[in-house]
Amino acid sequence: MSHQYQAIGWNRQKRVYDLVVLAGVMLYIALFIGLGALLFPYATAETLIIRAAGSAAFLLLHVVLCIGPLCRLDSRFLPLLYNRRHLGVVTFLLGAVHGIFAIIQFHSLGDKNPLVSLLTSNQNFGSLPDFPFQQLGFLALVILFLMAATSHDFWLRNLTPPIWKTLHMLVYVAYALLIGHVTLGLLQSETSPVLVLATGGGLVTVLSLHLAAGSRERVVDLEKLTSVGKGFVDAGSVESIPEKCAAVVSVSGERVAIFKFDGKISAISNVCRHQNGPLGEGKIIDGCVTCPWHGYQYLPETGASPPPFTEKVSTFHTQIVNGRVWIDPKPNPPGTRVEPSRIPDAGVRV
Amino acid sequence: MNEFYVGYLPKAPIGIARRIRAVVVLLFIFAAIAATAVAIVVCRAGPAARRCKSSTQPDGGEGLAMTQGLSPQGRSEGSV
Repeated sequence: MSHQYQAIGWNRQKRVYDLVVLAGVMLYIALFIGLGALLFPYATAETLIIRAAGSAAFLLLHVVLCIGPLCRLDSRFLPLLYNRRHLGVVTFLLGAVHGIFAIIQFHSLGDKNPLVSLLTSNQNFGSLPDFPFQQLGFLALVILFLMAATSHDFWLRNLTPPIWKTLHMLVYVAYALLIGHVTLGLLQSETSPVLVLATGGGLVTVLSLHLAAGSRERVVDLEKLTSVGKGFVDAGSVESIPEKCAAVVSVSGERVAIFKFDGKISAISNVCRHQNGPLGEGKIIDGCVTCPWHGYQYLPETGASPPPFTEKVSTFHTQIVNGRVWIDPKPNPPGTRVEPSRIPDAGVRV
Repeated sequence: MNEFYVGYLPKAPIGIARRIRAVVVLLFIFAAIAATAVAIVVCRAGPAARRCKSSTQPDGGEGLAMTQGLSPQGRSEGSV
């Protein structure tokens, strides 16, 4: 967490992350261009750059899209998510290299403006084999640009989290456009099944991981909680919640994270104010609920970030009866202090 | 699996560090295999791409797009 905006708040993890990404991209590009030049000496440097950058961007986008659901399925992947926006920016830069070189090579030698040529030179929208696939790639690049340009927390704060999140969900539109770009472009002339299988395999992997992660979330949402007097609902046993961690339940359509810490129980909204991260999959560190995605912190009693930070989430009243946690489904306004419920006979562990 | 790590913490627990190292190694191997396979397949497919194999553009068949529109050399300024 940081209080002031910086271009990048560098730390050791970010440096290592970016170096690894850079090394991976360089390895891919060098191998691709080296092998391409060696095996197909008639291929021009521009052509090899177009293909190397385009395929690298497409592969990297798959990695970006897989990280989210992988983290929901196994928290040990979380360090990959912490810096995912850097991967997204690299994906855009590779796509931009691909697009710029392609426009120069294919559209800059006529008397039309290259961009006009790109958008108008092929109008065969009714033909699958001759479909203007380049326009699809251009649209995807525009979306990736918008995402890369607004990836900083400055834009998250100024656009507000709902708008920012909606904008960044467009990555799925960009991915669909790129699947169309590849399928209606390169694969139309491809006789080898390798690329068809690879593209299909990538799509199936991305879809499967999202479905698996989604079905896991759905189990929580579908679980019916028993209600008693005063509207409190049974949210499970105290025993089932690990120390300094949370159980997540769905109450009146909202996910609530119930944390156990130092012999007490507190419940707050499961949705982080930063990027809607799952607070219930986080942990209490230094007395604060810590979001597993980017480490935003909230005090469990108030749902408010410790000063000087200003983020707040809703809190919920809780009771402990016969070793079970009961929760009031009605959320308190964000930042409202609620005294934690004491666990009877609980030894306080620090 | 009660380990927890956020990027600004000084050191990742050993289980998470191991998992991430394994993932990175796998991704590097995948990148190397993908680069090799895609380079071979795409570059071989190049001449036939876009169904316009060209003797002047044998490297990728992009001749179709390149010849769209009249080239500046193809007409003189002010011609009607």
